[in-house]
Amino acid sequence: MTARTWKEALRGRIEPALDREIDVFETEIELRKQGKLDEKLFAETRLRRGAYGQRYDNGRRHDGREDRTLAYPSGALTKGPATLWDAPGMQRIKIPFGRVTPEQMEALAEVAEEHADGILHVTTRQDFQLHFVHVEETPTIMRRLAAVGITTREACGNTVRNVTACQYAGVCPDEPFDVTPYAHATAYFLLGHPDTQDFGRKFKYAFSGCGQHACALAAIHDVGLIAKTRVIDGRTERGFAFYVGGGLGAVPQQAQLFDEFLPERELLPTAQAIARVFARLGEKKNRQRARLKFLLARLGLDELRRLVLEERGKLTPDPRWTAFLDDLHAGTDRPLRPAAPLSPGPRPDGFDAWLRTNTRPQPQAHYVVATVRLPLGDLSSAQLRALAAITRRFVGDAARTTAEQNIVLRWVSEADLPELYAALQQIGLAAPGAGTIVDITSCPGTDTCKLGISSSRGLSQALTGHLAARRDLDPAVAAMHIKASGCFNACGQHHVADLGFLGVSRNVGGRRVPHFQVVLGGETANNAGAYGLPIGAVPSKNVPKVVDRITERFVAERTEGESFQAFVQRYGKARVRAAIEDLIDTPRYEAAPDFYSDWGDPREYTIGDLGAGECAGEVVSPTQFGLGAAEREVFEAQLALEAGEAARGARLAFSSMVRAARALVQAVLPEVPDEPEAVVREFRARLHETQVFHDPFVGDKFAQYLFRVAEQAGGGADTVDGARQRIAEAMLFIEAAHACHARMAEGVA
Amino acid sequence: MEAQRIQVKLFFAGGARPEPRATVALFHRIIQERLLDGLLIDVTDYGHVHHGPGVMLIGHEANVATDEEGGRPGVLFARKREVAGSFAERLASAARSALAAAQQVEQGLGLPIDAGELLVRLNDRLLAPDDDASIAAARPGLDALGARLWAGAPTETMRVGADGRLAVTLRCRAPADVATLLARLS
Repeated sequence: MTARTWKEALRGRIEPALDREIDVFETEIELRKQGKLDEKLFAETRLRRGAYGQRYDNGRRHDGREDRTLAYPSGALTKGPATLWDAPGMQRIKIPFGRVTPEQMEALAEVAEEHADGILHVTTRQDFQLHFVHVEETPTIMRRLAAVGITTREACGNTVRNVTACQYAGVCPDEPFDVTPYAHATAYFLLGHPDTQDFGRKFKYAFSGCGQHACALAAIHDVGLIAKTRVIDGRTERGFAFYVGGGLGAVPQQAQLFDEFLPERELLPTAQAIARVFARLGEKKNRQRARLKFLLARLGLDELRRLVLEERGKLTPDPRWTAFLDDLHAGTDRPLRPAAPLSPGPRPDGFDAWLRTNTRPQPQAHYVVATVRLPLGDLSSAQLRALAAITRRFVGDAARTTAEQNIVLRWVSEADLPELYAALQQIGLAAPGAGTIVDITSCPGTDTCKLGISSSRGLSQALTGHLAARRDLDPAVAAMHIKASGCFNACGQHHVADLGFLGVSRNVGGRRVPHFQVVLGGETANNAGAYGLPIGAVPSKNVPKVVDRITERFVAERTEGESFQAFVQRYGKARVRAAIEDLIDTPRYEAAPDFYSDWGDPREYTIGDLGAGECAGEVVSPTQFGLGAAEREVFEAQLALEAGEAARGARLAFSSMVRAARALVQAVLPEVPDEPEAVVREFRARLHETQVFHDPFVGDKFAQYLFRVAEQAGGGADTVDGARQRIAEAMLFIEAAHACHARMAEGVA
Repeated sequence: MEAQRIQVKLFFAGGARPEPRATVALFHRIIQERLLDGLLIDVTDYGHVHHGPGVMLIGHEANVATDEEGGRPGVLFARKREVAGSFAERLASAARSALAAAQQVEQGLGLPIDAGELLVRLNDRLLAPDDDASIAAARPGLDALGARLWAGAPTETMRVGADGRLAVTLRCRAPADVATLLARLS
């Protein structure tokens, strides 16, 4: 009999435990529809299966003229708090260390086509994402993917997320050994493990083959592992430099070195031990402070290490801890075609530029890794299907996704490169520039993310076009990296770019204007070796000019061989900011209405009172002046920190928060006092307790930054790290003050 | 034929490609002024994807896109949710919605649509795989649609599926325009 559902069609082709898991989810969907399962519980269960919410899923959308209700047929039925059942959602699909086979690519292409919008998006954590998916179609997606060995389990939710790894693992000249089998063992050991099911927040792992490159960005992860070897009694032993407590988000922290050398046999038991400590002691109630980095800050590294080692000592031995070590080569990719050099014959148009930027030699002679550059991390189902065929033809086993939202083909014989290029060209995937300034990383931003403030994808697309048109790009500029995030959650990893952009908004003359904070000082190399800080917010539409201005200054003033990061340190952020000062102002609406809509979206950005009188376009309120002064002061705090004056930087950061709070209070109490204690008291009474300052998504998180520092009278952050955190919190507080002021102006606060 | 996810595409005359920015603006206007039936949600621009879906108007029941698959730009209507009725009725309903969308795009962007060709695809590899049984089950509905659209003029039906999904083109040389075809299905 012909199967009429995928459940019937795939019976016996899915691993039984996974099959059962999907059955359970399908039952939960039915129970939720019948009102027999609480919405919060259903939300967590669907998140743990990778089924996420998407923008406008509360049933409201401003269409550019008015705020509209999206009248879904299931009415008020929800799939989570304020998340309507029928609203399209996002399905995240875990791809451990980014390794994807041709068969899996074909399955991914098919589900994207039949259950989403025909586009597959590669994320900064080597996942795939599908958008505009109905929740009732997710079990079918899961089954079709499970049949080819892909699970979406724990792709979201408070669990161990996708275990990522350097895309060059096994084919990198700088690695002591291939981290792939270790990433594989960690991913599947922790997947569904009882000790990882009671976290207060997500937990991210990354494996890197070396310390110096950027591929795995180990420093931004809860656990980052960097391959190392040591020689004991003439025997080479494998292990890892083991880092903990890294993370981006609102208050970024670099991971700290927990163990200089964690032997390979200790990898999984230590992972289990740290999971148990995190589950037991990590924050559960306040999700804003629930990542491992906060537990690390609370306990200190020594105490965390002591607790983890103590927990390690109590664990019951598990044969899986070391079973994978018996055959470390089992999953290793092998070449399909014989090694042969690139022939000197005629080459297709554009080939040389692509060869220069999109290929990287392997240590294995006459093999290279070829990068398929994906614009905004997107490709169509048809492209992925064709890429599956190309993978089979040229490399056989698998391709890998990358944290830069591309796909790499490994073990390409040099002799095949012209043919490979021609095949990629046929499907529009032969664009050069991989890993250069035009290869911009971006989170989904306002396109689909409900937390997005500004259009990071729109900006990235505009910048890509703008930079590609600059034929005269200096090689030092071409080598730079740009990353953009639509909000402070930093999914676009803007902290670790040469030029980072962080989406914010500003109120100008009664209208909201999309802006981006310009973030300088970050470093992708050395596994995200340094985090940048904002130097000021510019209107979105001025960002291409800002990039031109900064890169021109870099080319003109750099010393020979100087990197952009070194240039910024030497030249100084104050001078860089001075170079873009005139681009910080927003032109009046009447003069440049384009500034009041976002990239790629013609709707007017404001959701406020479009009928504001002309006077509103000219008058700058005391609150706006005050917020501007707060921004200047927090920038001075940064400069102080960079000058080695951490304590002064921290004091200035606190002062800037008070200044921003005072500016807001002034909007409701014109005779506002000057003394910090009085400002904080008035702020608490008039804006915090009334919930006027509450952020729609994170509640009173930002207000607590102010209160916590005020309790210490502005002190308590004399170290460089402490001052850095204080400045980061002050910046977020000021951003929240801008957002609050905009809501007040629009009458929605 | 049980397949519900019916897609119908009309091609731009002469292979014209719409300008993404203008298309984005048009689709937002379609939402603002409710110019198409159904619950319209958002607009997304995939113009950066080679031969991809172009600009897409996301709806609850269906999406509309200035699709460029295979390098042939056109207006694609893609049904997502179930509708009642026989296959022939569901097919006619999808074609009607595709024509209504094509008419909006034609007028809004000033790009003429070729009303002599229609691509029909059943976006369901399980219920409508690209095989003889599927085409046999779909044939009566396809023939009926062709006859209604072109008022009984000779039509040519050709299987064009290449990715596991049943896909056919319906062609007719009799002169027609989108408004006329739409009127014939209304």
